[in-house]
Amino acid sequence: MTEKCLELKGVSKSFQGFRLNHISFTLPQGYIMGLVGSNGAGKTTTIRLILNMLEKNEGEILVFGKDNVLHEKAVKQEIGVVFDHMFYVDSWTVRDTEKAISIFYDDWQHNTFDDMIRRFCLPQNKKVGELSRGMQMKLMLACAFSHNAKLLILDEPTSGLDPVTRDEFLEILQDYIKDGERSVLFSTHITSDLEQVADYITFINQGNMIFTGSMEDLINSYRLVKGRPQDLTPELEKNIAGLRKTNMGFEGLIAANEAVQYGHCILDTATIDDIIICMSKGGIKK
Amino acid sequence: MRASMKVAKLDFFTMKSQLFSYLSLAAIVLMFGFMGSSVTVLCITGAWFVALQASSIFAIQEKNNLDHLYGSVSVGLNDIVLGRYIFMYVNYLITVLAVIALYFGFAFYRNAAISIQDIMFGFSLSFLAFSAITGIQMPLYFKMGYTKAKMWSLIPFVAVMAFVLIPSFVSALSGIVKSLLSHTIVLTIGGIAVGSMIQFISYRIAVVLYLKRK
Repeated sequence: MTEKCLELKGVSKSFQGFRLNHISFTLPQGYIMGLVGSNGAGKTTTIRLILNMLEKNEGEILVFGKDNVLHEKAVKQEIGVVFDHMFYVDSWTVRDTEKAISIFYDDWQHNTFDDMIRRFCLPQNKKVGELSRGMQMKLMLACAFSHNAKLLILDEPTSGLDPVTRDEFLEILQDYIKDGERSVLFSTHITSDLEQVADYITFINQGNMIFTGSMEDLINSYRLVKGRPQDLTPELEKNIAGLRKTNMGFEGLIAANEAVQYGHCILDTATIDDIIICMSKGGIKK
Repeated sequence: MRASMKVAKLDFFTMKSQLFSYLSLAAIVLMFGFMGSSVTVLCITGAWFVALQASSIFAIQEKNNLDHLYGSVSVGLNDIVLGRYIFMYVNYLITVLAVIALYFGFAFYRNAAISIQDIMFGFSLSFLAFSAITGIQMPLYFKMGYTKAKMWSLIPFVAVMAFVLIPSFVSALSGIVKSLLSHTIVLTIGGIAVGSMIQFISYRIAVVLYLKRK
C-alpha cells in the first residue's frame, strides 16, 4: 500500500474577509501534487497551515502520519521549503547560507550541498542579494535537498522564471522523486508546469476545495461545451460554469457526467486552465 | 544544541554584516575614556548601543522575509523568541565586557586604581538600562514587526533618558537619588535583579504576542 506523505483533513482557517473552508487532500509518497487556484484562492494559506506558520481553526494535518503541530520540529526535519521569494539574508554568500541553515538539521549533508551548487552553477562567494531569481530558487532547492527532505513544499516557485529555467526546474523535481520515497506539493497558477510534472491535483477556489485527485480524473471530470445560441437551454445554462455568450454561440465548462445529455453540442476535453478559469467565474460544482 | 541556541546563532549570522558598526562604539568609548568618564558611563554607553542594535535585527528580519525561514526550519515560535533574547543578552554581555576591558586599558595607561565595586556597579546599572529599553522594545517588535514598531520603540529610550534627567531638575528627587547612590552594593544587586525580572517578564509577553500573530 502506498504510504501517505501528507494528509489534510477538514482544515479551516478564517481571516477577516476570507475563509479557507474544510480543505482535505492526501498526497501519497513518491508523487507530485499540484495545488492550483487563482490568486487569493487559499494556496499560500494552505501551505502556511501545513508549516504551522498559521494556526488552523479546525481540522488535522498529518505529515508522514505525525501531527504537524504536536511534532512540529520532527516534521520539519523531513520538509524542504521553497517560497516564491527569497527568505535568506541578502548579505549572506552562498557558503554563509549553508553555514546558517545547516545548524537546524540533524541530517545535513555538506557533500550533497556541494554537489548541488556545482550542478546548479551557483557561485560560492556571491551574495544572495546579487543572485538572479533563478539562481535564488536553485539555492533554496540546494538547501532543501541537502537535509534529505522527504517532502518538498513549493509555493509558486516558477512565477517570474524564464521558460528555460522553469523547464530545468521541473526536470530537477522529476529527478527528485525518482526514488519513490520523496514527494512534492507544488502550488502554482502556471498550469503548463503541472501538465508536465504533476500526478495529482488539488484545486482550490475562493477558499473552497473544488477537486482533489489524479490529474486524469480532473481532466475527465469536466468537458468544455460549445454550441449555437439556440442550443443553450435554461437547463443547460444552469449546469455551465464560466459561461461566455456571444452572438455566434456560447462556451463554458460542464461536469462530464452531465455532458452526456448534451450530445447535440460540441464537447471538448478541458485543459486545467479552462477548468480554473471557468470555475473561478462561478457556476457548477463537481 | 537546543533550538533556541540555534536561533541565537542564526541571529549572529544575520547580523554579521553589521559588525563594522561596533567600530563606532569602540570610537565613542575611546573618546569617553580619554575624557576621563567613569566605568559606569562607559558601560551604559555600551548598553545603549546594543539596545539600539535591537532594531537592526528586526529590520533585517523584515527586509529578508526571515519569518518564512523561521517557519520552514525545525524550530518552534517559543524558540525564535527565546533565541532572540539570548542573542541580545550575549551581544550585551560581549559588548560590556569589551568596554570593561577598554576601561582596564585606560586605567593601566593612567596608572589609576581599579575598583571592582565600581565595575560591578557600572555593569549593574548598564544591565538595568539595557533591560528597561529592550524589555519594552522586543515585545513591540515581535507583535508589530519592524516597520510598524519603529516609532513606538523609541519610547523606552525617551523614558530611560527622562528617568535619568528628571531628578536633576526636581530637587526632592535628587535627594532620593543621592541617598540611593550611597548604597552601591544594594543598587548593584538590585539593578541585576530588577533587570533580570524585566527581561523575564518581557520574554513572556513577547512569546504571547508573537504567538498571536499566527
